[in-house]
Amino acid sequence: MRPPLHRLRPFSLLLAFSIGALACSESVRCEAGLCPIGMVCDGDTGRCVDAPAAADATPRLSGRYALLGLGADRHAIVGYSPARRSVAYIEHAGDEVSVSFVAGEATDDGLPAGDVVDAVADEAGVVHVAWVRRSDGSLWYGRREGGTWLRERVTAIAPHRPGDRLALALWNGVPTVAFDEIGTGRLFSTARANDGTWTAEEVPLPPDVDGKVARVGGTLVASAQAGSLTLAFYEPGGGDLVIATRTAAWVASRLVGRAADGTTDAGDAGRPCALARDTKGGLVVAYRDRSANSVRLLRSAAGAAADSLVDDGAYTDALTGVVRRDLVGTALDVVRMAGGGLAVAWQDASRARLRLAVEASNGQLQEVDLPATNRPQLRPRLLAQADGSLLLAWLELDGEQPGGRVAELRWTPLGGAE
Amino acid sequence: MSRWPPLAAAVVALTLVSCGQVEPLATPIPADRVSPAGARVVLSNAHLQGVAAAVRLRFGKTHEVSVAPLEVGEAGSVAATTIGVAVGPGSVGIDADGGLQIAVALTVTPQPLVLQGAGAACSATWAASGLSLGVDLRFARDPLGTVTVHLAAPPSLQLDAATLEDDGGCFAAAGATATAAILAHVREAVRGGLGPKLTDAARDVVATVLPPGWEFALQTTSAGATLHGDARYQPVGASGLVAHNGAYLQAALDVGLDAPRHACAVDAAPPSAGPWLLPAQVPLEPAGASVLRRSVVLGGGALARLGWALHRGGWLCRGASTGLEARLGPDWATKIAPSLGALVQPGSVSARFWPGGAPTLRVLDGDGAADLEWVLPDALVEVAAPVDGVELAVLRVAGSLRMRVRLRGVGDAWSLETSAVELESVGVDSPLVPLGTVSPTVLLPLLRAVLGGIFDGPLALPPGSPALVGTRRVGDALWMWIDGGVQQP
Repeated sequence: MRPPLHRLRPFSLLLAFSIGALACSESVRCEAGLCPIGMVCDGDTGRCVDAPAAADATPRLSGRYALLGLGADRHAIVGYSPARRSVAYIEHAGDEVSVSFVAGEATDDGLPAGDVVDAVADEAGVVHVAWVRRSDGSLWYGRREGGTWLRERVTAIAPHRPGDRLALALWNGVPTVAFDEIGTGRLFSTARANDGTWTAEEVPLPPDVDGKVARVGGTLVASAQAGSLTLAFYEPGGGDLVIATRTAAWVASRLVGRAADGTTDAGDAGRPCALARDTKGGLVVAYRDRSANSVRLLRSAAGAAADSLVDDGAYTDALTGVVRRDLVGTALDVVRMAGGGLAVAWQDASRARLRLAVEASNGQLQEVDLPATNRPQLRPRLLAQADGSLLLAWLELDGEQPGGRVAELRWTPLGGAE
Repeated sequence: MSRWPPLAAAVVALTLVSCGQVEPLATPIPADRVSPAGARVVLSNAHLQGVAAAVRLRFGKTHEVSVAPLEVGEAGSVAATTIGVAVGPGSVGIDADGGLQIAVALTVTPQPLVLQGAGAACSATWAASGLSLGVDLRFARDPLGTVTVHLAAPPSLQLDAATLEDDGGCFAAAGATATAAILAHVREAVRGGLGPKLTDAARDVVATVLPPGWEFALQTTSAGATLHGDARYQPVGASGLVAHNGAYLQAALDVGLDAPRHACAVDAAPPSAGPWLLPAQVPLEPAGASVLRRSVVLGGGALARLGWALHRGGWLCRGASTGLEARLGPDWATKIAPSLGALVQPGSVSARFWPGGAPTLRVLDGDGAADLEWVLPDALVEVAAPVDGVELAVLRVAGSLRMRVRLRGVGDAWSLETSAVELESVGVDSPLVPLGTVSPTVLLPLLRAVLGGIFDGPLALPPGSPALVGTRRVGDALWMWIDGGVQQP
């Protein structure tokens, strides 16, 4: 219906970056070899399409999934496969793809699976997975060792039952799972000690100006570094982005939105949100400002938080010449690349396309043109590779089949190793 | 949140705009963007009698008037007392200069007056008939340019007769001069005691019907949208602001509307808005009794400029993120296309509207009321819903739309309601699945629900605002009848 985009935003024009595998864009016809992994350039349409030999052997995923770096040109994707009713593990080692299932009907023992999944990999490449089976409110944890999945139910959380939000992190090497309690929205954290025992605690949340205690809604994400574990989530009561950090004890505050004193209200912000760390260990938060329809980036700078606009969806309509705005940021991710710069990927919800911006040497985010494929895209995930490249994964909808197929694209800055 | 003054609120009611941050307008609106007599206030002769009734209610139906003691020479003094006064029907007259003569009939209870002299006290009864208390108000501009409602003369008390029934000869010794002084004293007590109260009541009512605050120069902003507006009563004659043609009283306001161009709006010239005339008679008004009814009339030229200014200021680039699910009903996506329904999950639906050109705004006859028709060229409507847990646009409708909006009054609340949507030339697609042809029988109700979710809703008016009791199209003008709004003491 509508012509190609002509956006009023800085495009990635800097020669400092080699677009590399991304030379195929909506306004530029694709070229052979420059399409997402598993796709080829269709010379007739100029769009990236499935490679003829690339049968859709990998499970289609639904909902939140994790993109994990395993080192040495290996990475993995963990998510829920609605067709197999299982938690799926898809590992890429070079060009080889292998699939296994952590739990669910696709496993030999049929261990209960769940569609609320998160995963993380440690420095040794060991993958840790947590999932929630919503039908009985059970929380499960799995770890891949020697090609085998070791799985257990986390019973220490009783009598609390997890809801729809889950975040897994390795804090000082200890698997730590944060979850919301179904029905109450209270936030809990449970950790597995080296002896295999689990302990659980409630994360105290800040009250709002009306004295109502925050509750978890929308997104829940975690980021750990030595000495501290940080959780970020959306608080639906105030429409706020809330941060809770555990060092010796939990400290929580409303980071964006209505201040505790009620004097300011930045609108509805934080659904969704994503966490990363800068080169100095400072917290970086990418979030959607729903009220303003924008993607924003919050980072520590000289002891203060610097909030900057990443995208407001503005574009010039070719027919009328007026500026309109796409719905943006309904899914997003942020990562620090090996070179230190940040990369942000977000959902252009109006187009069912992804957008990507990377931080240039001057600290400015520069948007990168992404290639068009012939399917709607959603749920971007980012993985910084040790060689300086960036792996962008997403789900692609394909007809009425449940879930989406996983698609990937590797982006390499100029001077980075391929 | 700042409040609009009453006329601005009335304008807003027609503009699909919720209240925003309101500030004084820094510079006057250019003359070429002012609609001469763009808005008018009309009171039929029947409405004017309603003004009198409202004055009576505001004034109060009974009063106690204090009468101070009065020395009557060597005869002694008349003791202080109080007189009960009942307030009867009121009346309103208009003079050639636009002055309003408002009067109420008074009935007094015969009152004994006690004479205290050297001997024993005695009394006689004071009585009066045919009393009426009146004020003469001028609705005009003072030398500083401010619109005021002021007294042309002190309140006057008229009476047919006043007597002192002195059958016992109590006041006989005081003499005729003293008796006349006593009568004048009591009369002045009534006039002086009630005159200021009647003045206050009359001024309140007149200021409700023709508020001085309807002269304003404001700008309002909300979510990046801006609107500049001003209004100013047109002078009538040397100093008046109202005129009466034998059938009705009217006051006219020049209305200026402008806006800095928003990026989402095209740079179009304002539509023309020349002089226009009211009909010789007030059109048939809505049924129902009322105490204080008047008409506010917006001319077609002013309405057209309203649409233009709203578009230019970005007020039509709007969205909605709550309540759409209920408006759309279940399975709305499946009705568009089964393949779309298979993807769309239950949950929050949001929508955005982008106009592609200046709208055409005109008044149409509706079902017992007037409708405002907005023709919106090259517009885009986008509907988003959860897909695999992610909010995605699932439907995009682009083209020219014709939307009918009705202004409704329920009690003292005003609300907007999208009554119909028509498509002139549109394309429908989805970023998710091919849609093919979508039947108008499916698309039109969906668009009506979506646009209603974006533009409908109650208007934030100050407490005690008048009630909207009806609307009607006359020519290209919109007549609105409003009732009440008098602040009770």
